[in-house]
Amino acid sequence: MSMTEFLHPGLLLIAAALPVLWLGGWVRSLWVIAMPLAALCLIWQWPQGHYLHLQYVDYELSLLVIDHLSRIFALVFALFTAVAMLFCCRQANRHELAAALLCSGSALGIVLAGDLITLFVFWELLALGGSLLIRANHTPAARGVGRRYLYLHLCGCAVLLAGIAGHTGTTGSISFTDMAPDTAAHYLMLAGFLLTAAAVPLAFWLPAACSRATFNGAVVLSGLVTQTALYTLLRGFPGTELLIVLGLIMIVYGIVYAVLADALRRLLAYSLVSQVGFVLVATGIGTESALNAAVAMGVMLTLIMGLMFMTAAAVADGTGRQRLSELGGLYQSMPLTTGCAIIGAVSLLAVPLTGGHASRVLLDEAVRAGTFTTLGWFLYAGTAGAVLHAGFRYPWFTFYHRDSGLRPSDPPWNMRLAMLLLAWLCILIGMAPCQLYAHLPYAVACEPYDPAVILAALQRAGFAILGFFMLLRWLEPRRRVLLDVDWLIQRLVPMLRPPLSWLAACFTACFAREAVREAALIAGLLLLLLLCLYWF
Amino acid sequence: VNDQHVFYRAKTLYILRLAGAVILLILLLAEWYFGLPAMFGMHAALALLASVILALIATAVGHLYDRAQSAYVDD
Repeated sequence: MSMTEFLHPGLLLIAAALPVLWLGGWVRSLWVIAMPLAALCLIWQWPQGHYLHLQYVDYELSLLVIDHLSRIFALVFALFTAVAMLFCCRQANRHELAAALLCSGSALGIVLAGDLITLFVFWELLALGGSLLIRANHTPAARGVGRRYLYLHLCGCAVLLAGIAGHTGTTGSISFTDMAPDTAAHYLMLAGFLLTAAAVPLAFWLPAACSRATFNGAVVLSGLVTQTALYTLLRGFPGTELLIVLGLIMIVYGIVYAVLADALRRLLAYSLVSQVGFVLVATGIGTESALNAAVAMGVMLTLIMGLMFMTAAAVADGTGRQRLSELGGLYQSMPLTTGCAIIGAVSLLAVPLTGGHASRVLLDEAVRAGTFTTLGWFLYAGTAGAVLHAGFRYPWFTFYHRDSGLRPSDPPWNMRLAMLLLAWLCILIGMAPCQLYAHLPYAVACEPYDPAVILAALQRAGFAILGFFMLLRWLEPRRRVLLDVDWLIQRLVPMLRPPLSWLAACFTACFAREAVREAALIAGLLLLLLLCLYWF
Repeated sequence: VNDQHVFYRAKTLYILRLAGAVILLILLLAEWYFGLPAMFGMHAALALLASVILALIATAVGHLYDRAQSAYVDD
């Protein structure tokens, strides 16, 4: 048995986060890039199977499962982490790098988990890592958003744990396989996964987190968190029709809010929400070809949105401005960043020869095979709608349109190299889609470069851009009030504070008496016992 | 802000639109040439409609927000 068989890629990254707090200079830069690459090599060398077993009470935990589904997500996550670390290795603060490695390690842990208990432990760590990543910005606003992120995701963890307890109680199994939403426990698990996938109506955390985190933190958050949740939905709830409805709502919701957004990262975050909707629809359809499409779109989303957030970070880093209304004409001084943003944008628009096209044709094929004609037209319209956010609006108003007079240069070499790598991957996968298809869970029987497919894709992109220019004056960015569901929550929570405080005071007063405290303890234990009996 | 920038000048935009229209016409003709008469123009029309309708919806929502004049700005 070789040494590598004892190493878990996720745990490796989590362990690697600690030394980052003490290392400095080029050693730290080398360390944060080398560790994800080591994790990538580990995942690559393992054949399919179950590894790293651990006995916990009556259950045998399987910390590492390599199969078609987990392998592709783990490979892309590790690769993306290495590129993201390259992007931020020079100017990021050490807390941010450590939190990013914690996030990435947790995401890998979730993807490779073979049982629900391991999944839950890494899920908690992901919530913690995400919160630390936002708080690493060290601004009062970031601290507030980081705290709210943690509370919300811990609530999601509690819901997930309740679901896992119920599922384990009724089935006696902790293995993480596909489940139908037929019991309350499964619905709770589904809700826990959907919250992290930024599904409506609780999608507001993603724009808030991405806009308040550091630029590099936003890159990591956009590439890993929602995609991890998409993986769990793919493994746990394929074919759940509720996901189709949610996905369609998210597509429109994301587009509308992205059009209204003026802040760069908020626009991109809503764009991500819209794109997540497509993956949810594919997961909800649940056929083999649709699941292939969901996997392909999920992994491409990591690369494309990572690239888009990197270009936004380069712009904000160079200009010191983060609003579309304050930018324009940057193509003159930032040609490489402009090129990378355009590659990301055409990928989102699913233009041929890009990775976005290679993954989107799989969804079109699945919809056609399943004779979901109306759904197919909705998805087609949703893809065309991408011109209104990251697909065209973001690059146009940032790099072209009117001249803002700003002349920042392209970012430092490490950031340029990271952007180029992701852009190259987008093009490579588009030009040789078989490289992606070979790693999908099921055999692919579709031809992405059939003349009819190419023409449909080009017409979709071309005429959607025509629509954009027809309404160009109305789509000009401007600072405005932007309300989301978090507005409601931020107003409801203070309203709930007085009754909750009163309730807490009552409990404290009651519990001061010995007899009442013991009675409450017994009642609580009985309630817990009843719950356990119900589940088991 | 330089309003005379090449990508902002009205004349340039008209030229770009004209070039775009020619490209789009070529795409439509190619669809006809490759023998896809049943779908002729459908993709183009839907993409155009979708982007316009979604933009109008977003503009209408934005107009409502502007009228609300809430003090909540968290961008």
